[in-house]
Amino acid sequence: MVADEQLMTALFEDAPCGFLTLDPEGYILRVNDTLVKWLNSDKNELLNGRMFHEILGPGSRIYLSTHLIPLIEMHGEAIEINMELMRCDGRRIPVLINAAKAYDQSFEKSVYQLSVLDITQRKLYENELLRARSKAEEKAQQLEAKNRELEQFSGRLSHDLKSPLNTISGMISLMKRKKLLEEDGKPSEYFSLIESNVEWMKRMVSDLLEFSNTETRLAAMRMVDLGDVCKNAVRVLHQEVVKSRAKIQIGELPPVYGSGVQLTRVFQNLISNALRYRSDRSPIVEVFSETSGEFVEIHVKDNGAGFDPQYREKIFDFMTRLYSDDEVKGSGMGLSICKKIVEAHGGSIRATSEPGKGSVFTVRLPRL
Amino acid sequence: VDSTVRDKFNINRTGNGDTPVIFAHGYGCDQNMWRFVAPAFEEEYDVILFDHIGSGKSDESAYDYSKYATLEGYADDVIEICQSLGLYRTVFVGHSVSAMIGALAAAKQPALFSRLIMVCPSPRFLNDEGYFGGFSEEDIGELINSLESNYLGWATSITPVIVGDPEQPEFAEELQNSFCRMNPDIAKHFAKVTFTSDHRDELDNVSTHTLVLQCNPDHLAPVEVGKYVHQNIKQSRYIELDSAGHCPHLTSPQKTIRAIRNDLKEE
Repeated sequence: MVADEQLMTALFEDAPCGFLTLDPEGYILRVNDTLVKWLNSDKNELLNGRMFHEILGPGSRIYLSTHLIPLIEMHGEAIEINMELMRCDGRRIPVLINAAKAYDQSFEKSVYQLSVLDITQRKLYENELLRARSKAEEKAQQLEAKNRELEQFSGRLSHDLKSPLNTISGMISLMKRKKLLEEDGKPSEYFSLIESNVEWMKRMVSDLLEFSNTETRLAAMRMVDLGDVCKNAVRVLHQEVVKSRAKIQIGELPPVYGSGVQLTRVFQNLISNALRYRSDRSPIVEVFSETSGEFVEIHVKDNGAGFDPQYREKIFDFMTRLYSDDEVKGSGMGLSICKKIVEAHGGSIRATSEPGKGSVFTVRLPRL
Repeated sequence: VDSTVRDKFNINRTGNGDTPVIFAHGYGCDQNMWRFVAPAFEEEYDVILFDHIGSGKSDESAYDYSKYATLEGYADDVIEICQSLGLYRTVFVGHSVSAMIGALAAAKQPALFSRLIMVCPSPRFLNDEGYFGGFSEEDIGELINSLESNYLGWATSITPVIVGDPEQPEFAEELQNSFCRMNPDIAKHFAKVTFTSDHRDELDNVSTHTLVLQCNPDHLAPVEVGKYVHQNIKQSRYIELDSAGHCPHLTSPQKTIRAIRNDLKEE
């Protein structure tokens, strides 16, 4: 029995946390050695009429009256309360306090039992995290503002660029309709060059607008059937398909989580590329899928011109083209739009090819 | 009774007597603070409990940061409660900041109040030249910090960034369900207003019979402050309770009840 008591006393006194017994009015009735050591104080002095608030920092002192005591009195306990102890030398120790109201037999009254944990280390990390958080929030706000500015800028720019172009092409068709241009001869040839270049420039401007409007974060995501997505894309391309006498085979495709409109745009671009960058043979485009771990991969395979594998990353860059306009028209933005959309879906896009042997574009999206 | 006012302030009216007694809670908690004291008055009085806007189960959406930027906003609420309940010659028992809120209301509308009982009052918590309030501005800054770490906890104050969901409906619900918890922004604002306001000059305008109930020692509203209030309210008495701390209604409810009852009997 005596040995047990000694053991209990040792556990109380030397436990790696502080223990305190308080009178509800705030006087310290009991304190263990560990806490005395943390406070760099004298036990007898603490027990001789000292009050709990006297060993607290000022902020904690107020919190004690406004929150901790009401909590203990009304709830019977208080859990994980952040406070600050103050040593006589003014040094502060951040602590976590748990407290409960209990009847104490040796004092013959209700008391508060407190356990006190030193959280100096944790507090350092917490403050670090909080600082990092406010920094991150500030950066995010700046970025958001910049993005809004850019969106407005490119929207305005595309609009402003488009209107003079519309005027030019309108004037040319008017001249044609009114037969102001000779059917043959140099002026007519020059004007048709102007016309095709204006059309070309309009397309560039629209693509630019679309690229800037492609959200990097998608708002309306839902279940989308990729089979339907590809069929829609082909429907949009109907004229091109007929004109190029292409054969398009769409295999079994899975549903994914995403934006139907945006994904349609992706496959429309990929299939349109397959038709335009063709070889001498009639285009054959195959769309099929396979699963790869947490992802599904949708391949768009063609028998077209293909390209040198060294450009397989460069082709996704903004406004990068491997062909001149004389060979195939394009703005160099189609694939970068695809990339932007697929990445907004949490996926990726890649291509494999060899000149003359066709290409395979692979869209990788998270599996449902 | 106008049910919108009742819901807005979560008014609870009990008791069998005619004389109305309003119990007003201080900063940090709600009307539950009076649970050991108020029932003792139900037999003889008309007992009215309420929560200040932003505290307890009051209508948080009514918290107007500009209205509650001064204690006058809360005093106007007390007047609104009296008027909507048709109370007249009311006994107002206010703890801590509510003692001053009651004094401001009584100075504005003396006819509504027959008696003021100021439990641990302080017209100014900050020290000033020739005045000891007990705290410096830095101390109040530290309180705001400890409110931040306790109301939000370090984990919850970083999760919005990680989870990307600033709404946190579950957390908000938990807040509503627990004791002594308020919307953290309101808690900080109310703390700032409570602990930085200065109403020493208004004490002179109080003509209502007043009892200052002071604890000794009280480390939040020290004895000097209680005496200051007594000296500056003309018709006031000063009683020191044989109890330490700042919440005698929780830690020494019997002594508190006795002191209030004796004062009311003397009328």
